[in-house]
Amino acid sequence: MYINFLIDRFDKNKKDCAVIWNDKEYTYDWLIQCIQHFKSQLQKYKELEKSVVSLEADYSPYSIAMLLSLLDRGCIVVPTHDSLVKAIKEEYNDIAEVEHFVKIKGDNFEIKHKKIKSVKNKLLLQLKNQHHPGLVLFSSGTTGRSKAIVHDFTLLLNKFSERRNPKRIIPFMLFDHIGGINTLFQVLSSTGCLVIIQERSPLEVGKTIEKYKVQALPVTPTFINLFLINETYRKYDLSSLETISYGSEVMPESTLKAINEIFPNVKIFQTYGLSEVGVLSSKSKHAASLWVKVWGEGVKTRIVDGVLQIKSHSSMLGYINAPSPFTEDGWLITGDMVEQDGEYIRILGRKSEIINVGGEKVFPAEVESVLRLISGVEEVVVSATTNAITGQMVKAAVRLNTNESLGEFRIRMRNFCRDKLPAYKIPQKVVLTSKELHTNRFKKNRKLI
Amino acid sequence: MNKQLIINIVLESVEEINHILEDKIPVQEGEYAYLYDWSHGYLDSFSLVSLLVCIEQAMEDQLNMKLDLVNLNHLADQNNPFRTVESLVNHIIDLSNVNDLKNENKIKT
Repeated sequence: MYINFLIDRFDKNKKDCAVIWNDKEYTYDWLIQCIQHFKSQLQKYKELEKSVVSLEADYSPYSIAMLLSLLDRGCIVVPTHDSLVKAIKEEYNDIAEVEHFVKIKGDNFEIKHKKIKSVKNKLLLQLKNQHHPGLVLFSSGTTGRSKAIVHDFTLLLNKFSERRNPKRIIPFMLFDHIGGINTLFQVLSSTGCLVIIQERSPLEVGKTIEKYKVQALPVTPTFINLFLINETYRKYDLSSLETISYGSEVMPESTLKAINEIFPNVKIFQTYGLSEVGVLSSKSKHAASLWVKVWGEGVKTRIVDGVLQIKSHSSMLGYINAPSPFTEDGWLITGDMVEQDGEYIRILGRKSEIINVGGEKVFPAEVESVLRLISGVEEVVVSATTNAITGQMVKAAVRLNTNESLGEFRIRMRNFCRDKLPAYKIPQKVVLTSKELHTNRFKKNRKLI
Repeated sequence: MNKQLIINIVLESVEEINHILEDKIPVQEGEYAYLYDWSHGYLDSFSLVSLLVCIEQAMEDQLNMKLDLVNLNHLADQNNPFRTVESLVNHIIDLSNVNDLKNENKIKT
């Protein structure tokens, strides 16, 4: 019942390709049949209705059909990426009070039931009492402990009530990420086509764009950096690309400039989203601008003490395991520090990631943007480290493709930064590493350093 | 502790930091070169931090020795240890001796 509007659209576009997976095309007709098949299988489990269900999977036509089937039964779904380590999966399942486990195995699935006392969390109970399907997402915890975010799925679905132009899109963000869920429903609600990749590497993405004439690529700035560094765009015909959208972390100015130069005919724009509010409609001032307007039906923004606050109909109900980030009058404190220019904002970085050097504020993204312009720098992550003289100092972990010693690189770095950054923003501590400095979600890994 | 090794590490780090200083520290003066001093110094607080971090990293890389050169507990007992190359070298030797003592005690217990 909750997904009837989607099924109607699928039915009207039966012959269109919904998913390309393992080099095989699956039509909307196939998807409808798979959903019906799963729904009839799930009927055998009465206790599943309105329960908290972990769906362990990656993108596949089967996992998509199962997600829709579970939501239709009013389940509160906890999408769990199958690559997560066992301990994390168990931690997430405990926090979300998971009652049943559904695991997709190829074209089939298995169900396990957990013997636990009845669900206690107020937000989960609220959804159950309202007979609303839900979604529990975990923040990536790039800089701290993961938070369990509870959404009323009926509110998230509102955004997709209008059908947009169907496009071929690579769902780059993972299945258990708000960006991944957003891409999935954006494509399904417009009866576009999800082109699923097995490996999130620049080469695989380039190859897939060429082979399946992919039109839209939603990615992170870190991935764009890697895409540019290994010059994937020279190896494949990427002329089918119409849009590249970026979000999930701060875009370095230098990366934005470079991607615009390489893809002058591709519309490049920023999206703004948080696991707590979903992905909101946004419009960049122009392709090479980091200024963005966040808008949408029922979306309001305001800035308090430099921090963006949002009021939106699609906001989460709350966290299971963390204090409420809402103000008393219902605004979500995003934690993102921003600058404002009329109706546009520019995201500077997370308030929690600001480095305080002797009272001066430093945003890691600004320093990273300059450092990555230095020849030989493949990846860089900037963070704070303590120092008794200035309180904190700027630390940079750098992956180089040169054979320089630390001292040689430091001299080159300081000379390069001299006329681009004030002294307090130039990293005082530099660590050279051969490790990748991003997570498997292609976000900068500040925990690593 | 080999004093000459430490002098070399400090002077190499000073040479590195000289690249960012308009008014260069006279490395040729060796141990007598001023670093951070209200009347004769060449470093401000940021370049002092950079120099100390360089030295700490070199001590760790070359001598496998982890030191916190801005240990406030230790600094309270002495005059400015960052005044000259010589005072800084002595400060490093003091700290490394404290470290050695701590390590010896650890082994004994």
